[in-house]
Amino acid sequence: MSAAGLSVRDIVVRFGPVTAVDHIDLDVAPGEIIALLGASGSGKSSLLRGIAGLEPIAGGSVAWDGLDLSRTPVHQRGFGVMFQDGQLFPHRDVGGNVAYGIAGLPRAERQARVTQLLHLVGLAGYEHRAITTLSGGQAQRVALARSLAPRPRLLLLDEPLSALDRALRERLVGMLRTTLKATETTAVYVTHDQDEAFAVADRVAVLIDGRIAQIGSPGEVWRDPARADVAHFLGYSPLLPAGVAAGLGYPDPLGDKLVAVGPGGLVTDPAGRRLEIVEQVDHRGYAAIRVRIPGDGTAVVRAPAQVPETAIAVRLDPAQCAVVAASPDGADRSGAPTM
Amino acid sequence: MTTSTAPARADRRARGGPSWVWRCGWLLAAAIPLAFLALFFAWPVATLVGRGFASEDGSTLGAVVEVLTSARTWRILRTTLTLAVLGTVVSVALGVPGAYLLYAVRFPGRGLLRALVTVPFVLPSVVVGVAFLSLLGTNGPLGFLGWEESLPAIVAALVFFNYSVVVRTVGGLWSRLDPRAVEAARALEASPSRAFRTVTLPALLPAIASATTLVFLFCASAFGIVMVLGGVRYSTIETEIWYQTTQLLDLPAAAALSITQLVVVTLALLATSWTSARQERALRLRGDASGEHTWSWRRDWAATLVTGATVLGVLALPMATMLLRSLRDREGWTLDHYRALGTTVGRSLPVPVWTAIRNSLVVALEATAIALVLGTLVSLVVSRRPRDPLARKGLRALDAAFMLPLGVSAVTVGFGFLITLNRPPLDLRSSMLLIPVAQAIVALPLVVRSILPVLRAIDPRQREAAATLGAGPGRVLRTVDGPFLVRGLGLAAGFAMATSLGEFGATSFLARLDRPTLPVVIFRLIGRPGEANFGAALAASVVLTTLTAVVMLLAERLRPAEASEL
Repeated sequence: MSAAGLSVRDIVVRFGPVTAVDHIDLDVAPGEIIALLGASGSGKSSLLRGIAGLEPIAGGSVAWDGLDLSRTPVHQRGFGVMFQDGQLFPHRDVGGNVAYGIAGLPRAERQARVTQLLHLVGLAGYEHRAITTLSGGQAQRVALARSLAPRPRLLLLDEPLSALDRALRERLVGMLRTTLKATETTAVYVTHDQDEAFAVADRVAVLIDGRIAQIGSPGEVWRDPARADVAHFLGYSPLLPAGVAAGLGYPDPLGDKLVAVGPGGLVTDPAGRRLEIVEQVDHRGYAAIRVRIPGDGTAVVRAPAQVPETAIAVRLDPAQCAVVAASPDGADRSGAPTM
Repeated sequence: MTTSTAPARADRRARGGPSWVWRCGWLLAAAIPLAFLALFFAWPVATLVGRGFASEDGSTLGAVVEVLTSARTWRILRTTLTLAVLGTVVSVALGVPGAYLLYAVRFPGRGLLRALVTVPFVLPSVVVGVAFLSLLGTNGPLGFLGWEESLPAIVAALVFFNYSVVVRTVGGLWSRLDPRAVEAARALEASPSRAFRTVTLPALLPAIASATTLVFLFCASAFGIVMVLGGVRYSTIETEIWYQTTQLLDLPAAAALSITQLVVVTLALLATSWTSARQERALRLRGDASGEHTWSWRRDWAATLVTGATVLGVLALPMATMLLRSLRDREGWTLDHYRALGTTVGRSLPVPVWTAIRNSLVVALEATAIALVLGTLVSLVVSRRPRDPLARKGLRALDAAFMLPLGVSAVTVGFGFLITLNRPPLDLRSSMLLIPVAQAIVALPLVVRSILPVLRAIDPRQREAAATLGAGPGRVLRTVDGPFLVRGLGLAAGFAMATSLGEFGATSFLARLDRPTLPVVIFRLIGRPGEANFGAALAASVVLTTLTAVVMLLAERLRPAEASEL
């Protein structure tokens, strides 16, 4: 059991009869950024709210540096929270919002801290702007500055970028990581977006049904998904049994394991197996050709352009695939394609 | 204890009491208004009900049975229901076209017209009575109709009051209807009238139903209007209670009538809560797109004519007549009626009218202060969101409890005060606070309905955000709830002040002869013969109208967007 930083032990969060967080352990070292990645309803936000003290926990403990905080009220935990839609106070200007958590500091010190933080998030000179005049991205940057101002020992970010459009999200996620690292902030970052989690975090925890299905560095988790449902959630599709995979040119013996086909895991190859084309869709830079896999649904092949054929020859590229153990019920094998 | 002790955090650790202190604080905040409600509402009303069932000679049910079997009671009940039904039907029939024109159609001057239509709802009932009397009385411009002390006069005055209720309730929904539903129907080749019947009307029905029950409630418990316009020919349950109590001193009979009124009102309230539950369901269906379109004669001529006639004929004409006649006597234009306000009007009154105006203002300020303090406490408590289901149920019950005075007529409250608070253990008869307390009880539902929606509109995560920034419960309350509360208080104060200034039902029981309020004085003046008395009543009514309108217009300027419940 690590003494430094956050340690969550056996935590349970319930909503009436529903168990949202089901006996989870989690350790976060000082200065580390952990992403909790999961689909909606996976319990990731409930876990975050349980850590913050915003949701009562039905079991387990939340401790910082070995000191149990389970019974400490929210405002005394020293944990900051950044909400999905910012939750800036509409009656205060930008400076007033950032200064809210440091009201106890001497005036000069407080102003210096506000100036410094607004500079850090790229909004220098915005102190006196009204909240209503901010764009969505600016509001989230103010929310970040506000939650960092009291120097929380842990910052909990609840889908901070989900309300923004994709281009802005991609720009801000880099800013977020830089800022968190520059302030040496320990952070737990909740998101449903795989790219966002991989871009921001030192380690990624994949949550499925209220439990942590896998935890590791972004590279590890992507290259080696622990389970079929994790692979599926990360965007591998379809998951092929050994016989089908061998038929598509997969070289290694699999036993009862599955081949999880990543994006680009199926490539065109004149020497490969000819599969019926179901539909073709143009994307930026490539065409996605959906083919029927005998007895196993469909999969997408990336090709330079659409082809005037009814069938196309393909094979599996092992470098773009992962091998996973089948789930006991096999339910995850032929889920809806995510491409 | 921690490796990263920032000065900011060390400082905030020290603040904020333990949570049980806060829990006790909230309990106290709920207990104070509840105690007030129990003492000044539940106890008097319950005593009143008990008085009807068990009279002092020990016979139970005697008074109730006697009253309920008398032909007079049944005639009064029939009059009450006839007036209520007619008032409701006409209000709704005129109000729906008004709602359309003022909320679904864009035209210059609409804002002003909306404000104008709003004013009658808060005008003192006695003033409305006097205005119609000035128009329809024997010497009035429409005196030739012979409508003095008639059913049409009372119904017209009821419509004057309740028109705005229908327009606002229905119009609020109409302006938010998604126009695409009608466009879809039209694209399917439905005629405009068929599109209205099949798409718009069903969508509006919940609002119409809820307005209907609310208006019925107001009409069935109308007191001042019937007192002024009904004369001796028309009495309703409300006026009969007053008559039995103050003129015949037959308390058991009055109590029995109060019980009858409670039953009627309870049924109407049940219907209201049922329809408003349906309306909330319907409101979730609304689109954010606004269903407004620009005015055109071809399309809107019918609604324009109906609304124009209503606004001019029912709303403006009586008020204008009252104003003009207050400035005239037999010889022509004069300010004599206003000069008479400084006198006792030829000894018709125990005090000069100006004294009554000062009394009214003092009482209204006191009543407003009481209602605001209690209403704020209730709203703060009810707007909490506890996790415990039992506590949530408790809050809903608390919310409902403070709506009760809306359903129990002011006459019942005044009468209840009269029989409970005039002897030990609590003798407040001679206390100057009795009237403000009664008026505060009457105003409390409006105050809560003005503040509560604003507090409920606060995203609960605002409070969470404040807490995660280190703010204790006190600072959260001050910095998150506080600014919203202040915005709701303006409207609440306006409602409380206007209600109190015009309150007549309860006050008519409680006002001492030598300390009357303005509505009481006006009523006394019109009960006396002679042009001087009537002229002074007109002038006093104009003053009271001006006071109320100024208060309400100030409050409307402060109306927050969230407060649309009334």
